[in-house]
Amino acid sequence: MKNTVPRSTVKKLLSKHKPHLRMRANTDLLVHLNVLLFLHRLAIETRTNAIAEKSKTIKSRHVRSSAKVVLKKSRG
Amino acid sequence: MEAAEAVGRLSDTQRLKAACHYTVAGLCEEVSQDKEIQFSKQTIAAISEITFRQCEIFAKDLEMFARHAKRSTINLEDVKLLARRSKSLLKYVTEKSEEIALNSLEEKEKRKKKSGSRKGRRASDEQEEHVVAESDDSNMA
Repeated sequence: MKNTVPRSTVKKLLSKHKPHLRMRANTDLLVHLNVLLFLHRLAIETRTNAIAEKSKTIKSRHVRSSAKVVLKKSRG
Repeated sequence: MEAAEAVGRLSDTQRLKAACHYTVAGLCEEVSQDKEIQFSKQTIAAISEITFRQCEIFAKDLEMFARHAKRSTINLEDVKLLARRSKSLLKYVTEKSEEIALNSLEEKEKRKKKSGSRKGRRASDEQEEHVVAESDDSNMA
């Protein structure tokens, strides 16, 4: 995995959602950290889903069902 | 001394748990009468234990919210923030908080009126107040 943070992309996405909100310096790095942790949680949950179904590959339905759970858990 | 204090604290939590259990049992009784379903004793005990643990989480969260706003007093806004994750719960809490705010406003006005009459202004003022009080009564009825 490449180690660079897409800082301008993170800033752009956030300003798209909330144009009037301003960000202090380096907050985007923490946002990126949160994104990485979210992806990690999603991956683990999806893998457990796939294993529970005795499927060797992760399919879209596994991701969908786990995304529902993980998104709910990661609400602030 | 420390051991005695520890025992005292233990009995405090036990007393709190017992009070929580009693309230949960009362609420469960209401629900069982409403839905015509019986709760087993273990279920009620489990619900009261869950409530107790959840209270710890709530207390920590509320403390953090108040500290984030640089306050040491928890207010209604913090409680609303606590309920933000569920839309229906947030709506319910907001309605209740508005109700409470209205009630406290009315109480304040009543207190103001009372303190004003106690000071003993002119007779005409008092008469006016009597009229107002009567109209309030008619509104209540």
